[in-house]
Amino acid sequence: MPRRFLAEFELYVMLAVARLGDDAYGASIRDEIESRTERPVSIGALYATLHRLGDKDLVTFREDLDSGRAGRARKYVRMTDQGRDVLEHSTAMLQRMMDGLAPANGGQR
Amino acid sequence: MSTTPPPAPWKSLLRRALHPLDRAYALADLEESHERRALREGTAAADRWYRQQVLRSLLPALGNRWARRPRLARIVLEDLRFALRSLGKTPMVTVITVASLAVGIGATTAVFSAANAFLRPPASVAIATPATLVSVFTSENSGIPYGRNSVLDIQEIEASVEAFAGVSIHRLGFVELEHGDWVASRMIEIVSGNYFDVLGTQLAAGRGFNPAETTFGSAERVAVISSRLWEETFGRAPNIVGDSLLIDGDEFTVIGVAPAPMTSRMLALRADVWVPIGIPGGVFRSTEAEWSNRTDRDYGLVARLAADATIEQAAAQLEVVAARLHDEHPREWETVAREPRVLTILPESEARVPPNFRAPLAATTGLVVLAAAMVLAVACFNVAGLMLARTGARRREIAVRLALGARRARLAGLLLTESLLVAGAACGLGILMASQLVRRFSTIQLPIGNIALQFDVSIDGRVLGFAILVAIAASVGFGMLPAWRGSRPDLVAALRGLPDKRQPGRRLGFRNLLVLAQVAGALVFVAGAATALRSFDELVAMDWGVNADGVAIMTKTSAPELSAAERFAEYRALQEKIANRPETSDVQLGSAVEGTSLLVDNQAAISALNYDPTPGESTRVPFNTVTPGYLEMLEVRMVAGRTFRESDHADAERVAVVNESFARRFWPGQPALGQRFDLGTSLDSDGNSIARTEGQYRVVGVAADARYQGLEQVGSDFFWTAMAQTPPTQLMIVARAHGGVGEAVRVLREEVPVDLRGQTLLPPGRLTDFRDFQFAFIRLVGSFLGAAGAFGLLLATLGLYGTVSFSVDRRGREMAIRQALGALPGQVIRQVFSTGMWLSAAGLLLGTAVVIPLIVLLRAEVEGLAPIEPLSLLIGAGVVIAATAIASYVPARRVTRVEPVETLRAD
Repeated sequence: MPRRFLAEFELYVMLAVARLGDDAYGASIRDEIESRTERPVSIGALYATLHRLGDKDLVTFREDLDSGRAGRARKYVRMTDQGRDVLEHSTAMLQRMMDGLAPANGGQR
Repeated sequence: MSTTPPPAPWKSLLRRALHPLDRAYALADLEESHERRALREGTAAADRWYRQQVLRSLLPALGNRWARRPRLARIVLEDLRFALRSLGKTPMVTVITVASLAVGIGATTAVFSAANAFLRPPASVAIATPATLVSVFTSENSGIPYGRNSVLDIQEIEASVEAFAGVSIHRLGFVELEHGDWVASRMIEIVSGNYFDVLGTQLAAGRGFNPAETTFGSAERVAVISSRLWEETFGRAPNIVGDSLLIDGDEFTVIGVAPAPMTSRMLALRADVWVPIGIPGGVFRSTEAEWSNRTDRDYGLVARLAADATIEQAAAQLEVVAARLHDEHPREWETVAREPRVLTILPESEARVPPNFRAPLAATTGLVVLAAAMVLAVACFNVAGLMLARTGARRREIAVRLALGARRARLAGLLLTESLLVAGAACGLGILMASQLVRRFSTIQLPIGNIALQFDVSIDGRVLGFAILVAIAASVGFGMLPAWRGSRPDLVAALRGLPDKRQPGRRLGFRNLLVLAQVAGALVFVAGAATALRSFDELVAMDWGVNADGVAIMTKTSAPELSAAERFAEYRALQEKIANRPETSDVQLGSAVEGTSLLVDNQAAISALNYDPTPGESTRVPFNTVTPGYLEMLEVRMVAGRTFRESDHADAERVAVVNESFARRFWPGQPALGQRFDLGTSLDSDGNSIARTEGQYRVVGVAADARYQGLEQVGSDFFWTAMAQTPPTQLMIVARAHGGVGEAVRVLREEVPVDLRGQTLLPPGRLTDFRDFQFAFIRLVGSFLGAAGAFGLLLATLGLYGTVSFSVDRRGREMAIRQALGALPGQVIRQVFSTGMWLSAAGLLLGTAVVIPLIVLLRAEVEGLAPIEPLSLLIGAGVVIAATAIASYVPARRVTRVEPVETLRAD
């Protein structure tokens, strides 16, 4: 199976999806990334990335037009097995690259 | 829990930017975050955050949208860039093409629009249900059925015709308007009180008139003004109602504003003020006597059909009224041929251009429209020629593209872009030109005083659309030709720059035919313009029989209660007063003035002893009553006898001077001097009695024939009588000054007493202006034809030059080979030259064959058109030959100057 690498924002999105589990949808993913990285995420960019991940079969979608207490439309995101593999591979590679770097150097981009 | 929704406009903005697949979810997501943020940080902060989110999502979304369709946008941009570059490479050709089309579009649109407005005035939207509005005419003295009506007759019609629900009166004229510093001559309509009600017009502001204001003497000095006047002069002041306006020096109170599209009832002429007819004196100085005179036919009648009535019923009832009027007032209701006058009814929409007007108007405007259409045609020829020449020259480029694998669709797209660019630029310029021309056409400055006829002319959308379509069709059609032709080109030949072998014997191909057509077109334009200009010159230089140079004239009427002797004394006193001014070189009096039918309206029936008129023959002859010295002052040519003297006074024998035609008619084959004749009733052209004169007139002089009555009347009868013997009620003062005509006009203005201002029918002016007024319309047509001719010639010449020089350029390779093989430059040039000359010679023949029958045909239609001038044909031929010569010589020389090797290597 050919290993695929994730681009930076794709990696963020995949990590957020992994953290959120069954509760991963547009708003929660966006909030997750924003709160952890303090990096502003535009909703357009998020959806474009999700579609790209979907095209690569890394995630699947479940659409729910009347969800939650407020009855809002939500597009839930679930990671596929392949997605999980790619995510593991990417993070492992990242980990390998960061091995031995002092936290002061590696912690900052 | 109550939540605040995100700001709505931003939300809808975001909705547009989002991909439809995600739209609902993304919106919901942001809404959720917005809600949470609002709880945490407050609504304002949440809204701010939402706006940032929208902006951030929007910008990449725009990028995505472009990215999603990369090819089309890129291709269009690329084509556009390429087309601009390609057009820029041949700037002359591009400019000529665009200019040709623009002139074609502009001229055609403007002229057609104006012709439409003149011939078919738009049904004014200011009128309610135009279908039931009609106009009624009383036949004129001459028998022409479309004359105006008298107030008494209109009242009779109103009382008797049950098919009419309302009858209103209108009369059009010029007045001087004044408000503060603003002064202008504008058209006014004097109307009955129910005028706006009969038309069903809703005023834009204020009130109209009330029916009581129709009664003579009962109306206040009130006026309704046009929306345009309100805008231009009063700046749409809201308190206009109640403001005042000077009309011919009298103060009128503005009581209302007419709606914007309101025109007069005549052609598309624009009226700016309406006043009630019942004002005593009024702006036309109407008197009770005039109102009660059945022969004062000065008024138009517009009526509204009753709800269940038809126009046929109204016509039948009018016939009864006319018969009764003829019975009761036989003298007033007879034409010159002793036939009863009739009442004619027409739908109002058709009455604006009376049928007797329509034919000559249509013929003349038709001529102008034809010229404009020809300009458009020549423009299209130009485009065809130039586009073909260009694409011919680009055969090689196209072949390279095809050889490199360009698809035909792509090539077509490229050529289409170029053609559309040309057409687009031409359309823009053309519309600009049309709007300028239309503005120009909407005002016709009359040579009398400061009076302008203003028409409601606007660009006719259909015509503009048509012209644009033709322009685009020509541009795209001929611009795309190579894409179609190039579908199966002989690539190898094209790449080598050789002629296409599969099109043998194409020497007289389409392109040469175009040159032929252009040459012929240029000739037609030169001949046409020369004919038009010459016709005009002939009109101006015509023998008018009087020397009008430097002559100022002014009319004045005398009080009706004066006796003939008192009247004459008053006139002589006035003449003396003017003569005593040091500036005056000569001043004489008449009852009319020669040279224009506008100012000769005295006619008298003549009876001579041995002359028996045939039944129905009119013996009415126009005449002028003059002071001694008048004929000398205006240089009327005498062929026998004497002119008038002071001794021809009231108590002396009555004398007359007649013209040759008069003498031939009444005393054929006999000397006229010493013959006697009688004046019957003295009538003006409408059959109105001016004065009854008795006694025998003796002919003491004979004058040469000339156009004493104006343009149309050459060699018709005319005579003069002595003013002391028959002083007229209307006076014409004729004066010259040492300092020229301007000074003479000023003297008249100063010397004719101010308290008579109301009695001056015409302000002082130049006699030449009044005379030239007769051909104001012809002059307009002539100047337009001249302009069209000049434009057409310019276009045709430019087109000719472009086409010929381009095709010469294309033969550079051939010429280089010839030179390489030993031909001298002179020989090569001569060869190119002869080809061009043959073409233009053929074109000239074709043009002559077109122009001669064309002008012969037109001469039958248009009065006063000069015959074909051989000189104009020669000049036209000269211009064409010169253009062809330059167009062949310049590029041929350029090519022969270059070393043959250079040319060949460049391939």
